Amino acid sequence: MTWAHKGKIAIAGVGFSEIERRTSRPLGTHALMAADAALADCGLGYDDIDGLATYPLAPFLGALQRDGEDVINVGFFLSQPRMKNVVWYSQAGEGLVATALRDATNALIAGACNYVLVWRAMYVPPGTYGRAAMREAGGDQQFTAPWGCMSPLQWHALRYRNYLETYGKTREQMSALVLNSRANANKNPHAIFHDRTLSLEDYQAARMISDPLCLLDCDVPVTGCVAMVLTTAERARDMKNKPAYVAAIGQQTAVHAARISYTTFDHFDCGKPLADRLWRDAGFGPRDLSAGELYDGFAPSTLYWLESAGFCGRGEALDFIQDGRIAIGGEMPINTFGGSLSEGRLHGMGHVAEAVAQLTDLAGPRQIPGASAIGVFDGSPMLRGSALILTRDP
Amino acid sequence: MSLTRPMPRADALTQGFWDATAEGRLAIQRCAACRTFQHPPRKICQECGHLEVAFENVSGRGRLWSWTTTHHNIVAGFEEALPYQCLLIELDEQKGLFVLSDLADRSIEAELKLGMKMRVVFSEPLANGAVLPQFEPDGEGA
Repeated sequence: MTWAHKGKIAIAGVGFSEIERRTSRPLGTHALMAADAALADCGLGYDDIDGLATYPLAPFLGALQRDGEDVINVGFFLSQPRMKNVVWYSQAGEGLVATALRDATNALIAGACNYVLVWRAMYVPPGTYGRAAMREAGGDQQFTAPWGCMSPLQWHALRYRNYLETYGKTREQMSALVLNSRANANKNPHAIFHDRTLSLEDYQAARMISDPLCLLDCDVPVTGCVAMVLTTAERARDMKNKPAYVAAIGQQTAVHAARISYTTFDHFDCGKPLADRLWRDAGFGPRDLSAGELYDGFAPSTLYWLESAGFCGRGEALDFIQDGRIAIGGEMPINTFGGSLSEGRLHGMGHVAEAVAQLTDLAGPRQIPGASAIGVFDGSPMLRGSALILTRDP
Repeated sequence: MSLTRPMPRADALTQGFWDATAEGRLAIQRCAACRTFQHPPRKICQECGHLEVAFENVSGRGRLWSWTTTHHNIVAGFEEALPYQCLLIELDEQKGLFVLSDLADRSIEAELKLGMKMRVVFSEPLANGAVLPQFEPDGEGA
């Protein structure tokens, strides 16, 4: 049986700030640009917003986590003088921004508020960052730092090596995903790499970061913000633009017990129970989607979602992405906007924004004609991922 | 090649791990009730919630679950060691029981294979006296 609230909640407006690599402006500037744009997109004002939700964490070593500067917490918008009527908020600490979308959906279903502003703001600090400089390592780091392992990219590299060796695949096959994403970004005006093409030779020549992950298998850090307005389908009907509807939304809850890294868990154990719930709630399966927007902070995460969400079988994702199958116009378009790899690291919000754009015919040269349903899978299945299915019709 | 590793800073929870390595033993925290091993250590059993968790010697044998060669400057002190390898070992005692480590002998980096048998060896003491577990191929049927 499908979800009782299928199609009852809508994303009515989407707004982007300028997306930059580095900036001298504080991140708050971008947050306000994105909020202004999202509100203008659905014809609302700040005083209409009565709910706020975000996942704010700055995901790099040495982040200041200072509101308005390198993170945008709920407090940032609460303190805006124009935001007078907020009665509900949620600041998610797990599951990336899809968790904030889930919280907003639940609040709207419960009638706790009427119009929720959801945002994700990301910041690139000046100079070199993401480097651990410590004479001594305490906490859990004492079991990793002495051997030179401190970054999520190393853990993902370890996981990816295990994947490649287990299923007998090669890292060269990943070029199909990376090049597809870049070609799509070349049609996306928000993308940081809109004007930069990428060739197979470029991919093969990319410098290794932590083998088997090369530079182009890692997303591109950007400064910017994407904001959205969620409301009930009933209210959205009479608003300025056509909305997209939430057919299903959920969180990965299968992983239990502490390990040295979440990346050691099996992607099916983590992702499949979530995906099964989504397909049941939506009343259709992965083959019924017009596209998949699958998180690619590190490119292998897209493979893990392709398999655990049922787009293809276990160990088959690197074969599945070949031969134009995931291109716009292919059998199953994936990351039609360029993904985090080529649009920029907006931590999943770019993926959601693209799904809305496709379902409301606003994707311009990337448009999939008549796109009817799109799955967005955020995070990696192993990192308490979250996901939602959006549709054109309620 | 000079390598300055960040040194482990033991605390009440982790002291038993480092006391053991200093004596040439690998010890992993284990729940007295459900007998589940857990690493890194925790004050409570993550499996059953029991509070009696204590370090217990393990065989020091396991399988190579993965390895990565890091070319990027991520941890200060490793600059001159770039590129260097990290290993992830799944200990024989329990599925999903992992320790992060490296090779005692870097000259055999090219011989690594997924699932190969490995055994623990121990480093020279760091400046603060801490001894690190490292791994080498387990000759008996590696």
